[in-house]
Amino acid sequence: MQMEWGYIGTVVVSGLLIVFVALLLLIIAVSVMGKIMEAADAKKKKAAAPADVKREMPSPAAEPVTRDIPAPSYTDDTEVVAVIAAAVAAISEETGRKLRITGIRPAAVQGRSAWGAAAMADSMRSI
Amino acid sequence: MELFFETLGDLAVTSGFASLTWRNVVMILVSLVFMYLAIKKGFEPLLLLPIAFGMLLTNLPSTGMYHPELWNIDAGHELDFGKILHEGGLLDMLYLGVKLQIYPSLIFLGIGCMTDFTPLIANPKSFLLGAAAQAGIFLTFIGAALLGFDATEAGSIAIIGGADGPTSIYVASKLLASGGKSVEVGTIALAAYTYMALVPLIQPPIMRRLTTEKERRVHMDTLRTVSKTEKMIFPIAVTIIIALLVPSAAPLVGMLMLGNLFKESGVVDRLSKTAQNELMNIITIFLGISVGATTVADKVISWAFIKVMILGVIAFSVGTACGLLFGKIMYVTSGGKVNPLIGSAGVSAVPMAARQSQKVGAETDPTNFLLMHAMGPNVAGVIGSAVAAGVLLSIIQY
Repeated sequence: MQMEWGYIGTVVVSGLLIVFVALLLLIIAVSVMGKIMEAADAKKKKAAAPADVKREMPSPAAEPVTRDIPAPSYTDDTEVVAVIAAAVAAISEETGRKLRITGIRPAAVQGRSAWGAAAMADSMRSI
Repeated sequence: MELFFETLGDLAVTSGFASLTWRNVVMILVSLVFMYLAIKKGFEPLLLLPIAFGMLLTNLPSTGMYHPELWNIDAGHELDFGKILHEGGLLDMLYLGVKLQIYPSLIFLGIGCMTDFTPLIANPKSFLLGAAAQAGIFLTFIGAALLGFDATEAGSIAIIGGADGPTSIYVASKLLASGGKSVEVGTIALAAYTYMALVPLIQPPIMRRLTTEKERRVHMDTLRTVSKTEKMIFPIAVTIIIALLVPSAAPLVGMLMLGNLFKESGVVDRLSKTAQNELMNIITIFLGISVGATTVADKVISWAFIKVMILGVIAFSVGTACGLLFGKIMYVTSGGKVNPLIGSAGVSAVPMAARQSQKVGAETDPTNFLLMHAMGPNVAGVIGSAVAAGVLLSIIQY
């Protein structure tokens, strides 16, 4: 049965509107949640900072520095490991050679994000 | 001796050869083509192989594995479950999970366990790109209407543009429940999974055409760190908001978020592992083979099937284009901080669409790492397509 244009228009316009409104509400909710968490984290860091300054000063000879790709902390930086694995899988597919990651070892990299550290390690390997 | 020949004669008459028609032969050959694509070319093999084999089984005559007449009911009537249980074959029994909307929801549970929403939480504006890409669904609805499909058929075809197999099957199994339709659930699933596998072919030309080199070169800022608490609150908040706004999207979104909460809570590791491995594999087998069984020759060898395949590629392309165009709007409004290429990842084919953003971005600038930024809109697209599915089910009378 042929649909009327009015009905088609209703489905399309109301459908798009509801999808956008739903996802806009989610943007607001997630943004508010993010702001609250950031504020709470900032408060926590401020309260903990003076007591922890001495403890966090790195001892130069404490851990060996390696050129390996630093292992990210599991809770927040698993994306780096996933990206590396995805890149290796993509190369395997393109070249037909079977490659696998045999290990990711922790390296002492403090004060730098996992992305920054990975970029630094990549630059160092290419020298 | 006479008895012997009589028996042979009876066997010959009841064998599949006696009832084989040219349509069955064509469908068997089509199923072999899809099996080749799945095995040799790697086209979404996890779903396409069981779908193709289900297609083969259902088109081998006289097997009694699937009975279309048990599922084609008149509008306003209910399925006769007693008759299905009494007269149904193996594939009829497995198809019950599709008809009762169990399989797609459980697949989403597994997908939720495997999905990382961190890039989306870190940059919530990605939701807008996920929403924009769903325009492909609604614009394809117009195309399907113009080609003469009714509302339920048009809605089932349009959802292919969501680039999400379980969502397509979920919507199609509800909208096409009453008989007399020119398309089947199997046709929709076949189109959805075929085009999902073709994302690396469909998207890049559109991405290059709709963006300038300057836009493709944009390096985006590193995403902020997201805390574990945020990652746990996210699925709960999404479920509440979406279920209240679009209740018919609740089964899909709810199960997706439940799976994600399993993953992020860290206290139900066994459940998370089961959901994303054993459960997902079992449901994938049942879903694939039973959906494939619906592709009976009479329904597939028709102009309607060709129209569905054409509309499917249009849906994907329009979704990609809409995501990209919205990405360009965000590029302008953000003062050049957003790379429009991530807009095409709003199509919910995870992670292939995000990989295409990375690939096309890297073609212009090899030092540009867009993958994690594109994952935000990509996973937002999963939520967006589930919401769009709920909207279609709410608006269209079936």
